Amino acid sequence: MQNQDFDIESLSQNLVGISNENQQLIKDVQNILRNEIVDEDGLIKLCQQGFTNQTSRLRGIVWRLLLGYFPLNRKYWTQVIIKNKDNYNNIKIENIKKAPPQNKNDHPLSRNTDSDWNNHFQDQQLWSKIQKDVIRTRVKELGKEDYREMLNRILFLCCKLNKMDYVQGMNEFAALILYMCMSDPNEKLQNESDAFYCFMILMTNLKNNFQLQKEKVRAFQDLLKKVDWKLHDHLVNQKMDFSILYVKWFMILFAQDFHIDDSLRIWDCLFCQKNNREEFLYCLAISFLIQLREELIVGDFGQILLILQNLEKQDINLSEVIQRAHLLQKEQKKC
Amino acid sequence: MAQESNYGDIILLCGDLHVGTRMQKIHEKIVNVLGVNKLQHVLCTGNVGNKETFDWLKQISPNFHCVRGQYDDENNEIHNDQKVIQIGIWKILLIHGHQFVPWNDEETISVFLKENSCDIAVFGNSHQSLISKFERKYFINPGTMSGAYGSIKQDAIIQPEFVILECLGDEMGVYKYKLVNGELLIEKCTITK
Repeated sequence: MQNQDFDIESLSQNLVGISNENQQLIKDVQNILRNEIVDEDGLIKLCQQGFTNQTSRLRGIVWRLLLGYFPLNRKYWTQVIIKNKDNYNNIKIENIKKAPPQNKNDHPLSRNTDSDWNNHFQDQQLWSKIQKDVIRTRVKELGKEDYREMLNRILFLCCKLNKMDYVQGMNEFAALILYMCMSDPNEKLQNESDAFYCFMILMTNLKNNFQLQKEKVRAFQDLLKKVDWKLHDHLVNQKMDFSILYVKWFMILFAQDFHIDDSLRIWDCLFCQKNNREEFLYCLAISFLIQLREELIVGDFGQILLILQNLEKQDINLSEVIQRAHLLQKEQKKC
Repeated sequence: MAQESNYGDIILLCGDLHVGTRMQKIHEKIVNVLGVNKLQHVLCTGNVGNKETFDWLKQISPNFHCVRGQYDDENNEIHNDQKVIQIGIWKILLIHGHQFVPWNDEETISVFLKENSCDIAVFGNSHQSLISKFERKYFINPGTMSGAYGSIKQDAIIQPEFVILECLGDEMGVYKYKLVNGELLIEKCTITK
């Protein structure tokens, strides 16, 4: 089997309509990728503001690198893709298309943990539970039957293999990753298997993500107080409960409701924060609040809630928000 | 599931419960093991008993069929004396069985089957389970699911029984369940069309 080097030359093809600044970014990233071993820090520096429509062709490789799916040594990338396609096929066969029951003492009503029937019923229930969420996830981008099935499979297999419960929110994460893969301009990266493994890695990294952690709400509030005490005090006076932001912002990580390009861009930034994801997340959240400061500071409880619970509907310049978040993060480091 | 399944439809065969008259209830082990969401069809040979039990049988699967036994007069939700049910390529004749004269007589039952072009006759009445083959047709009596005594009150204890079928194309997995001393004993066999 020929071990073809993964092609990165095509990244700089077809640059018509792309701004000079973005063309430079693409070429700079390409240069980093041309080295035998990728300079991860250098890559992060280039990509940490996230990708726009003009630079989104870089996302596929960058996410795979930052998640650790691709090793830093480019000569292994093609191998990784092929090997994982095979692995994924086997996983699918073993867990979805199963052989008929072998055990002599097994029967349809068995409750034994090693009963094929029992496992089959559990599987059916898990599948249905996931399906209920999948059919209303990113309908615009992933509404096709094929994509829906892929999304269902990825979520089902991840939960089953890790023996974990399906939790709402996982569907939004898997959808972003799947969309990222299947909409990649490079055909070689349009793999359900890549999406599956990247999602698995993400789930491993986000261990306690879906539990409300009150300390985090506290930390967020304290940071806002430090950065903008006037806004903080106004929100507190209006009896705002900061934990209502927790689910959509800190648990679902802005993956839901936002236009998919915006969610993806926010995730570009989050992935670039290798060890400081949480800290950056606070800074990003605060940056959103500051962006909306003018309306928030004159608003009453109802108006504030209306704005913050419909963040995606506000007229926001995401580039500004992200830039400010980075500045805030730098400032916090100095303290 | 949107995927190929090597598991077929699961069918419960039961009957002669007489709950409320001859028996107080169905043993909880049986109720629990049947659970919810496991059965696609329930075929009841009749003589159910009280409304509560009938309602329970109705909701443990999406497809409930019941025929009239001699003691089902007060139940106006049972309309048929016999019913033909098609599952996959199998045609099943459901009938209480008191209509067969003599009871359990193979020739008599065979005639009923041929008249309806059916492959399996599912009937009760004798309160004794039975799985047999006669001239390429099958007879299944799932016994009494409550352990109620039959038409002659006997001192011997009658064990609660029922049958589960798994429909696999031109084969059926047949599982006979019997509750003995609080434990479910299972016998398995396969029948082919």
